[in-house]
Amino acid sequence: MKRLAVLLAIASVSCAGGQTRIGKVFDTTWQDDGGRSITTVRERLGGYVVPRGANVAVGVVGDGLVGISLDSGQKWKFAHALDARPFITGQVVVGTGGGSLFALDAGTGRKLWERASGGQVRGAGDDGTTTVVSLAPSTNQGGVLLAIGRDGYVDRQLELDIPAGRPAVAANLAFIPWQNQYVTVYDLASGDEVARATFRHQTSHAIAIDGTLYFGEIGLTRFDDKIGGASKDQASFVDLPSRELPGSPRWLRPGGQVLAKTTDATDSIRLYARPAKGGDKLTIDSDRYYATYYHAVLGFRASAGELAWVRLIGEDAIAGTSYAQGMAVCDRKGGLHFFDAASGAPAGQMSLGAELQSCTMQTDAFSKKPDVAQVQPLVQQISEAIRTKETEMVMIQRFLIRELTGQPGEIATRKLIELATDPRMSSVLMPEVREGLSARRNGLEYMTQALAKRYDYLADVVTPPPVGPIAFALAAMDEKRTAPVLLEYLLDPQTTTDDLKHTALALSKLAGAEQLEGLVTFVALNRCVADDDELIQAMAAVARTILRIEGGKGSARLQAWAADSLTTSAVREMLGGLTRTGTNPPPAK
Amino acid sequence: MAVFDPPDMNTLRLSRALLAGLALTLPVAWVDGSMAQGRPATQRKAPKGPKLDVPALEAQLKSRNAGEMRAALAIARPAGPAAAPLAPTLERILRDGLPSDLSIEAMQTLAAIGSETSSGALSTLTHHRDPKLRREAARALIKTRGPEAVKALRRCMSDGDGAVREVAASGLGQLGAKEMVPDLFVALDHKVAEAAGAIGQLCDAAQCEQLLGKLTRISFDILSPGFDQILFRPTSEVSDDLKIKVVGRVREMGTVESNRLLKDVQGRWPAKGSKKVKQAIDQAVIATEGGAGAKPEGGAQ
Repeated sequence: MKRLAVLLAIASVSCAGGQTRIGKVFDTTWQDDGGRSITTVRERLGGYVVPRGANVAVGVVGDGLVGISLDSGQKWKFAHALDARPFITGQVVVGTGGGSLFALDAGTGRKLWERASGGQVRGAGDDGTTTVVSLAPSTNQGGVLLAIGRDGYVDRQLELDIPAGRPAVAANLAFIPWQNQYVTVYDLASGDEVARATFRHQTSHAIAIDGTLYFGEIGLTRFDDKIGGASKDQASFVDLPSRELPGSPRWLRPGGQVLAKTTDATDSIRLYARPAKGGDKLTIDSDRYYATYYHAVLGFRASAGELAWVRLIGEDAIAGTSYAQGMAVCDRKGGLHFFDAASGAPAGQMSLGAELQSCTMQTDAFSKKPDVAQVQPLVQQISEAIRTKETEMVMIQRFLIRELTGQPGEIATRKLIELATDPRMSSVLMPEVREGLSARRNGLEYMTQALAKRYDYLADVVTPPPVGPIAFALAAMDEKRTAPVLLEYLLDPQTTTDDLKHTALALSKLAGAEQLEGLVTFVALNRCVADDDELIQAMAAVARTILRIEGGKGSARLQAWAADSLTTSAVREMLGGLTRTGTNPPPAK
Repeated sequence: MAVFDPPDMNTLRLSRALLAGLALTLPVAWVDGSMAQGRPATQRKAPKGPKLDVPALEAQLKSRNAGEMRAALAIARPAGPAAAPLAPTLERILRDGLPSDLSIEAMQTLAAIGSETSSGALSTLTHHRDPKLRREAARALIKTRGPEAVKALRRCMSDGDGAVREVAASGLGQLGAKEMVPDLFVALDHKVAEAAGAIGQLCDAAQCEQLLGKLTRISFDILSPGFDQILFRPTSEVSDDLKIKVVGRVREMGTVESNRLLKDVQGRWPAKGSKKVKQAIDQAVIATEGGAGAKPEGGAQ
């Protein structure tokens, strides 16, 4: 009776408003109507609100599906063969396998209906009364769209000979994205295409979020009173800031594709965001969008793309969802992790209780309170995330090191020094850490503290500080007070030749007459043995410094060394070049 | 006292070129002089011996000709302390830079001269990037002695090269640097084996007991040189009671290694040495016959 009432109501809207047919369904000769037809549909629907969807996580396991209500924590299981990943839409879960198409109550796992079908599910929409299901046929050509009532009867079947995306349904109107640029509004009652909109942004999804329809793939366009401007890019549209992220994650996969029931890397490297409710201008909820990269979950400012937080989870993320002021991820072991949008503070955990082949989540009207005690400074979060050992995390760790380098506070300098001297750190990441440290322009106190910890076997200091990058930074900061300690490193055999080179370059800017004796000693000790390129580069920097400090006397000293047959030929050549040009060194960068 | 056959005086007056050639053909025993006999050049007074042509040798050392420098070093080194007038020149050329082989020969020569004033130059060489040169500098510092040598050797105990650390630890013992015993214990805990012997040379009663206490955590092979040193120190430094205690602890080990040490000490025990200690050693040797697992008879005396 309820269904009949809704159909009658829709019929009433159609009759009263004179719903018109725009032509043959999916007609490719259709000319853009400037948004007239879609505006008419929008006006007819008025304040219609798509019923809220269930808050649920569904995992694919060996013998079917497991689910959990995120509101009540109630778990369910459903044993069934599967040939594709299921879709959650509205209050139902739609799946295919074993030659049948089925729908479950998302909150309880109770089967709503099942019917024979040869295709694999590739998209579904639901408005609380009707479920539209897009099926890919076994022949992989075209497809079929079914509109199925709660009783399992097919109200409408539409053969698709166009590449259709993920459909939605509202008030018995199916919204079908196709050819990545159109959304056809298909009247399930009459079987007519009653409106079509053209989009300037790639569009393969029609989704209901918090009672409102959105269309998109690269960004989302809201179905509101500006929808008529879509073809002129004047609709309410929002996308995410363009920024380079490891693995090039996407917000939405191309719609209308069958998703394998087993997860892949694309599921672990994803973006999530939620359009903000209301407001004249479409924005992103909480000014946050999120990324997952295996064990890492990151929050970014949607307005500028800056990293706001990063958290680690114990297993690979394979699915996620965003909700008002928060987001959740599902991991490979069935763990569900909730995070506060603003701070990334954990907001709870749940579990599906099984290792998953894949996972799908939906949150609509949902919220979780964060544990404020676990709010951490961003720098702390980044340095913890960088320390994780998993090899698959190297790319995101490199990204995080760059983020840490970009943090303005002195604490970031301290963290970079800690990372550079942490024996647990992956050597693969060390070049990025050192480069980041050399780019710092504050944190003198932490740099000098680090330099005070010289190699000392008996004191168990066997990892010398990153003197090269620190010296580089100190030179850029023009910290002449540090010249004496840098000179000690120049004369310390434990200083690597790479660090030696940078230390020598720094001293070319920072050293004064007080350091002359040590500088001369450095060249003298090495000039008759040096054949290593980096060592010779260090000597060249020191020789230039001697020239700068001593002038003519220094030139004579260098000439004497260059003339000495015991000096190695490479060093003689270097010194000869310096004395011929008589150049003073350029200041260290 | 270092002993070597004095070369013919005429040899010293040969032309530099001839000297350079001759140096290459000199017998090793002559070239290495006292060092070849394994005895340190400990004497401080210039011995009677061949008179060195210091100006000529200085000229050769300053020539920056590798062959001539090597020849001069070959003459100066066996002269030992008699070559002391050459020390300032040697220090200067070392500081000014030399190829590795010449640096090593120059440092060995300074070691043979044994002048404390050379410790400064040798200390600088302990900063060299080549560990071979640092080792040689540390060895030479043991011979040149003085506070600067002690300070440099202490620093060398923290060197990144294990051999440098071992030379330094051994050297601190030889230099009698008692103030370094706490640091030597740290070195011992960091697997610097030579520290045990050095501690044995320098320890006071409490420190010697501390070394004994290490038997539970450090292998006997590493510690035994320290016990050996303690047992042969004069009674004025280490009491007979403490020595007997050491013998007792070694005896308690009851291993082949402990028996070997005790027998070795027994064989070298001075005729005029303490009879009490000798008796303890004799009993311990008997008690530890049979090696590992053999039960010691009675306790330590």
